Amino acid sequence: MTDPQHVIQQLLARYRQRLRLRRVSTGVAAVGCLALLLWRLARIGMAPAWLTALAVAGLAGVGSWQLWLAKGTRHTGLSAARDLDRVLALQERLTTAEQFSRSTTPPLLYGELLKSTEQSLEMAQARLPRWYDRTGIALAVLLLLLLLWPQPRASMQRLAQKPPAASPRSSAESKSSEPDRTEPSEQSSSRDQQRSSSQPQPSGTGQPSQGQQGSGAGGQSGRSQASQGGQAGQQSGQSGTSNSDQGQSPSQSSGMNPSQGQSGQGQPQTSAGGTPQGQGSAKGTTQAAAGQKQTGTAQQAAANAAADRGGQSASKTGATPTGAAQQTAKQNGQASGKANQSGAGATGQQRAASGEGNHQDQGQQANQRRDTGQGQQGSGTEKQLAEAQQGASNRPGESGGAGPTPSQEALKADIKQLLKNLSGELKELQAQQLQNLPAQVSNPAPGLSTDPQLYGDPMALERATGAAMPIQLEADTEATSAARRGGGLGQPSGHISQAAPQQQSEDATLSEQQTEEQGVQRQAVPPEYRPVFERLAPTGHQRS
Amino acid sequence: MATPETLAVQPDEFRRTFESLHTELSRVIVGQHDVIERLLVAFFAGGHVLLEGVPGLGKTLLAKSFANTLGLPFRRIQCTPDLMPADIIGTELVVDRDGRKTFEFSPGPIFTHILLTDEINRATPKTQSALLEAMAEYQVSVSGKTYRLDEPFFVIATQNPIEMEGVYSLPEAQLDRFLFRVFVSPPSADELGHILRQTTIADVPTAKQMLPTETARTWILQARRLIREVLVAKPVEDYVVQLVSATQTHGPSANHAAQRWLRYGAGPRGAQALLMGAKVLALVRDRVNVSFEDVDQVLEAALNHRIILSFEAEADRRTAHEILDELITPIRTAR
Repeated sequence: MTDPQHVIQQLLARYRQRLRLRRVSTGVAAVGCLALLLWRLARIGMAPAWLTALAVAGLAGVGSWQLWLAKGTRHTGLSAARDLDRVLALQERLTTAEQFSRSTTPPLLYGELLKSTEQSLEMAQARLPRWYDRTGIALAVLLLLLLLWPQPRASMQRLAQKPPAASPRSSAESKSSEPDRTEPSEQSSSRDQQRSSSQPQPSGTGQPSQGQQGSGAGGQSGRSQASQGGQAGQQSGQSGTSNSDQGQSPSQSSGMNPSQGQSGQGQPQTSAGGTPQGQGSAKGTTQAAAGQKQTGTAQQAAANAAADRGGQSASKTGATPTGAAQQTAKQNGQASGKANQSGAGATGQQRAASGEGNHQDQGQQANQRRDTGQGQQGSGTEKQLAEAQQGASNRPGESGGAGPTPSQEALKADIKQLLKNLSGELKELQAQQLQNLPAQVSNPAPGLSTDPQLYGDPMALERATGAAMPIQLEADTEATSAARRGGGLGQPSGHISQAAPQQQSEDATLSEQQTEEQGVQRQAVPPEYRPVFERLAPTGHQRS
Repeated sequence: MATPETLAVQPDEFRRTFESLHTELSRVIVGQHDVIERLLVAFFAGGHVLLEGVPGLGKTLLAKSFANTLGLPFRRIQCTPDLMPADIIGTELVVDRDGRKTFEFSPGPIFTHILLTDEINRATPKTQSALLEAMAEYQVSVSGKTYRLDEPFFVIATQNPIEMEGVYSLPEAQLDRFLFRVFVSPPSADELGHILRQTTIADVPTAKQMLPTETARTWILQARRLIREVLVAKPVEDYVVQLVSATQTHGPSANHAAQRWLRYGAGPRGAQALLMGAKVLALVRDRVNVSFEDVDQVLEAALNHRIILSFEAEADRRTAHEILDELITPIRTAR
């Protein structure tokens, strides 16, 4: 091993090459995944604008990710050595070697360090990072999944079987005469639901297809139910069978306004191929409305709003009045059941059919009442709305095109009249509420509350006059130095209170117990010192 | 460029000797592998060790066995409250020589290579401080005269953490003199069984001398020189600085956790202890350069007695180990 810097550069070059390869592989895999995802989304009909946006966002994400990866591998000198040490688990050998290789006087152990580093590098060659990593593997798996995942065949078939545009009436008739072949099971299921939910269905009314065509409306009812927070029980089960695909498929098969059907709001239009959808949609809305306790006013408002929206949709989109009726029915399904039941008119020739629809719907209503116990009774306004809806639904074929027809204008007039009536009733109700409100909530003036929970009995204060003022406010007219009552110096009276402590005489007696300690007696002279004291004794006498 | 041949002790030779010492001590002291390693690391790094643990864990036996394996002179001081500094350092005695009475210095037990001060926290602070000069500067001063201690001079002090009555906790300055404070933990069940089998038989194993008496001292000094030659890269050096700085409680870069839990942090001696211990470990791990892992391995032993816990930490019963971990984890993650 000669120059550690050279070795580091070589190793770093190999390391970077591996990282670059890894980056490229993961980038290619990511772009491939993105492309496949976009292709899939395009196949299921995502709008090109969304696809473009998604592609741009995805490419930007992949690009920034690649940049971030590239940034992490840009090192020079000591940082490169440190990064290699970390990646190859060289325990700072390269870093140390690189650092001390630049010093003019290498330390004593530098040669040993180079030897050790060389040995470690030989083992580390095998530990260079692979050109793929976990991310690359995951992306490759995702790529394979996207490639091999089965196509959504049903929708593709529907797209392939898209029939040429036909007049709404003819398609309606054809649909009424024969069920949709693409989704027989769904229709039959919704048919079964209708049958089960509408017990008093009259037979032989000449509209056997209404129930079948209600499959689209069944989808609507499903939506309505779902949008209303999901109703339990049988109705939920029915809604479960009619999903958005059901809502879309009839429209596509009937060739009527497929874009609306795909856009998700086309539930009313899904079966709007001029088909008498009133009954079906009314049924759906009846189901949707079941179980919701609403006031008659709310129902009326909803019904009117629905009628208005239905009229608007018919005039704006150029859809058939049936579509409008369905729209109305859908909206009513979110708000009111009864109005929709009344408004569940079928096609025009089928005033009788609308009667049948009413029968059916009444049956449904009865059924729902039995289920939920929350059946609602309609009002006169609702009946008017129903008539308006019938009028709207009775003219399906006449208004496939652009301009408003006289019947539509009549419908508009009806709706306006209904709205007026409704607003009048609303005003009356508001007035009633305003009248009732003050009686219920009477806010007392501040300080005058007589709430027994808070205050005692109210007690009026006497009106104060000048003479009755309890506080005497008189000015002192005497001179400052004058003697005042109670003023001056006091004199002792000489009287001693009985309660004062009195002196008591006490006889003192001497205690027999001695309190003083006895004096310490002189110790006897020990025998061994006695002669000494004896010799000293005459001397003391002499002194004395 | 100088070659490694200029070093009397080669890295490989040092590693082999270290391992043989470790093995021999492990034969006598059951378990406690980390304690033995820390003890050897502190010795070769030129520091002193404070062994802390409850009685009966083999602290004294470890110190005696350690001295036996090295073949160096060994003295023991049993610290008691009435132990006086002169009992450790030595004193001047009046000696009658040729009819003339002169003062002559009688060296104390501190004049040795391996000194075991057993239960050091039972000695009075005055006596404890008598060790300060000897531990830091390898010399003692008596009656105005300075006496040099022979190197290697290695103090193994033991203390019992559970005794509260009649003990004098070591002052911070005294604690700072120890390179490592090593906690001796109780043995596991297996180790306890092994201890029973090993110590209740007729021939209790004793540590053999692993270094020749004549060359032991020289070899140890040359090994210490080798250790000081171990290379440290700048990032590792910075890492040590960061670790020690993280314990500082004052200054603009003071850590919030350090301010909360610590009264005082580690000083320069702490950083020196970290790096010297890491250098020895690097050689033992067959490297001539210090790595981050080496620093991490000696971190707790080198710093746990150099941080003074705050009142809040003591009230919350936080240990030095926990606080060090909390302070150092961010640095360790970001390195």
